[in-house]
Amino acid sequence: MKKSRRFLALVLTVITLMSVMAVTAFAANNQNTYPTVSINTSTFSPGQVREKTDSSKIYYRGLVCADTHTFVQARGSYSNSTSASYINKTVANKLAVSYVICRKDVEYAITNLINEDGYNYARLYFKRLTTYTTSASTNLEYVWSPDSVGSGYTVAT
Amino acid sequence: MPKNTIIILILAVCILFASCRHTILGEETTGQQVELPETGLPCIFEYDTGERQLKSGKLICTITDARLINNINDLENLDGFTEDANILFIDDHDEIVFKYPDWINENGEFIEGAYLLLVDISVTSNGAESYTRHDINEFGDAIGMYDDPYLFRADSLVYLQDTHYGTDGIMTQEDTDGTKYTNIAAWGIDYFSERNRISENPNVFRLSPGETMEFHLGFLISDITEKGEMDLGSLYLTKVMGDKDQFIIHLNLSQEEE
Repeated sequence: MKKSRRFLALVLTVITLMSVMAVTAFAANNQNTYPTVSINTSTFSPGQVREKTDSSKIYYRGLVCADTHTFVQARGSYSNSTSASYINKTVANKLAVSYVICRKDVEYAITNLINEDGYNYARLYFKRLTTYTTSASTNLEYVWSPDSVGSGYTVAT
Repeated sequence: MPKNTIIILILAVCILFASCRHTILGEETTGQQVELPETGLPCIFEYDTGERQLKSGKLICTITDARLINNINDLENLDGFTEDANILFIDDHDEIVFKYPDWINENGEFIEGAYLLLVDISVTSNGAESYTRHDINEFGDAIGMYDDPYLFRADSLVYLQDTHYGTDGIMTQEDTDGTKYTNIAAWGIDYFSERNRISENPNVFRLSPGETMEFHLGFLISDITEKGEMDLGSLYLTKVMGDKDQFIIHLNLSQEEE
């Protein structure tokens, strides 16, 4: 009888652990996606919209672009509609800023107040530095996740 | 406790887990599946070293078919949805987001006005190689993400863009501080039939030189005539979000609904 109870307790423990693991797996939106967006020197151009589920930094890395550096904004919205308004929530050095500058090929953690201010969706916006004098647009291919895990990334400023 | 009881208990738990994972599945029903009108298919485009993340060679992509489905049972792989497979409707100015799998009824049909645009694509490697993490740029940073040069990303091949909101699907807006920014009505994939096959990333596929692979990409659509946000008549597949020069094909899906 005691042996059966111990077995039952073991089964229930395993079930509980599996349930916790399942919930954890869906907790943060930290899978990488790889959008390609057209950017220019005159306006901030938006990238992909994705759900943001926690208050972690945004993971970002510019992969392919004619420019080595890019202005990047982290914006938030209550909606995932591409026609909705997205509010700039970029933070650097503990201050709200208009943008951070990110170098190509470097893995960045972008500080933001998207989740803290109640927004559910994150979207990165990009603008070319005017030092790249050509007015034509260029393509930026990047990898990002709205929620980040791990450490060792360069904090964007 | 009798052995039989324990076995029944374990079976019950297994069934519970299975039902949690597939609650979207109901009886075997199949929704309407309408063939696309004239769209210029098959459509061929190249993914190469120009401004793409390829070290050499090219991927030759052929879109062989694109169609709307509105029943989950029309999919071969039900585990192909991304974590962002949400769909938006607008009801009296209130935006309602249905998260996956809340937009699927118990019988497998999607809620009114919701569709999955299913794109059949065939990709052939013409000596294509991705940069790996062993390739270093001028700053000493690794260019690639993986060790295997034959891994490619399904979620950067094509995007869906709606020109309903502007010629290029682009609107220029002004922020409260006067900063001008654009808004692009463009979306990435919500479904990849080969998702989770490669451990490095759920959205990548492996293709050696000379090989061909066929898979499906899916984009969730909420019909603007059913309080959604996408105009079925003005949807394009594009290689780059926000660049009309990179449009691949006009889908002309509005005729499908008639």
